[in-house]
Amino acid sequence: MKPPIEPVSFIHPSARPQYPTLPLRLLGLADVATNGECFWPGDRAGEAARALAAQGLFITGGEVYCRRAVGWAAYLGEWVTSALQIADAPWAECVARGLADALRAIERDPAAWGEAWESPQNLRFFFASAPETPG
Amino acid sequence: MSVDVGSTDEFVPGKPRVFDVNGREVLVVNWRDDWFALRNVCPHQTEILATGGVTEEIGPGERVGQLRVTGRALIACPRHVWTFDLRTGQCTVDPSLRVRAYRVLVQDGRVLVDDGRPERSPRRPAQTVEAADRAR
Repeated sequence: MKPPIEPVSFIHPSARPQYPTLPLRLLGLADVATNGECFWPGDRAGEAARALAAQGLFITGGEVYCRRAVGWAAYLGEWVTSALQIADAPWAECVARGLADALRAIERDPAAWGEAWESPQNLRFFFASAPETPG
Repeated sequence: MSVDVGSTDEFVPGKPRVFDVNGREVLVVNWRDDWFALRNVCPHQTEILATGGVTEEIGPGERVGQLRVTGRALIACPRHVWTFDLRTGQCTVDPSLRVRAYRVLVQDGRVLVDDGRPERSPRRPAQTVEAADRAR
């Protein structure tokens, strides 16, 4: 008997160096680009953002894409965390505010990202994150 | 916020270099005395754009069968040769696709990528992706 055909997957081994601290299960939920960057679907993006914050990573902003039937995805827009007020804040506060902004972006009305989105399930979220650096 | 990605003389014309700019991969390239920066993910099938070739667009000329150089700088994805306008990120094959493009400034011989963030953000020095991988 022939083995079952594996589903099409964007998972790439290079995902691991990009997000070394995230559980493989979360990586498996994402579209993973060839450079290892992860793009999570809307219904899983909140879980991913919380996992990044739980690792002490400051989500400095992110990008929103719309998954396409042909090709991968169209870039819709991005958000940045309002860093003006937190430049001198403790790291934990940066992490908390970055997570809050990311969750707001995920829960935003999909129509607000523009006309290119086709359904909420097709949205993909990329999180730009930074580890704490000395000084 | 402008992120310093290096000195102008560290760049070879037409050869993109990849940087970690505030947590995302961005390619920076010098082409014909101009500077460009794009996200390093092809929206077609997520290929790394930086390994593609930089070229000038060739379009139809005034007469049938005639071609002309339009002057528009393009980068071609290495996987399927889909091309993107280096200034706007617009795909020339499927106009509904585009790559995030960033403004590049050159000041005092330094190349600065404006990532659109407000100043006074917690700063992280830009580094090449290879250096970021080594640090992980």
